[in-house]
Amino acid sequence: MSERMTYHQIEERFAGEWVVVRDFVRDDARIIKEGVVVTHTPDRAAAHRALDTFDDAFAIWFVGGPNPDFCGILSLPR
Amino acid sequence: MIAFRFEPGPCLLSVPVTLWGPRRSPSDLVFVLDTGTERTIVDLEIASRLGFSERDSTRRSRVVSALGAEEGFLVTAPRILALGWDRDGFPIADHRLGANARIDGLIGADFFAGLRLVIDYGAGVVEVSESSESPSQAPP
Repeated sequence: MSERMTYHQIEERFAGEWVVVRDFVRDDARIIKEGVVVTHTPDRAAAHRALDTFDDAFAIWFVGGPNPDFCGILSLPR
Repeated sequence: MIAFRFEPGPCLLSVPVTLWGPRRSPSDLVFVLDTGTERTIVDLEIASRLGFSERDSTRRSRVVSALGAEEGFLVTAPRILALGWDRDGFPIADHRLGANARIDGLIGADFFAGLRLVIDYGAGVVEVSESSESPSQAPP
């Protein structure tokens, strides 16, 4: 798909999916306002592969936020 | 001072990040703010799409979590921007992050070197400003 959508349209339509967006516009806080949706998929690896289909800047995120069960890194030895 | 709002209460703080890579225009990602790790981390798959390669790494990197240890490598990002602040020539550890985390990286404590970070979970506000104390002014 290659549909230009606003951030709010993306968040409404693709809950629970990864989205890849190109040709995007940011607001003053550098949050995506709108862009062309390259793909939306629950499969993160598929979203990453979609990044290989074009060469310019991309935005990628999971609609719904991080997993609340996520456990951070405890240490990164030097 | 720069302030950002989030839903008040105990939650993971996701942070929009713009990352410059060697091969691609600056791209936008979502990281989790995790001052429990001293190093900023980006997912290996995303890093490779931005043009970072193990060939360019300055050294190996190893992270330890509650679930075990993971090997990666350290690269230098031309620039990274998050929470209204940017860093040039910033070292970033590239590691494989699990898909279930639903994030592509972590903003670690190193990003806030020289800065003052306030997280107000009650009000739902993150504030970042320059620290009033430089390392040279800190007590021994």
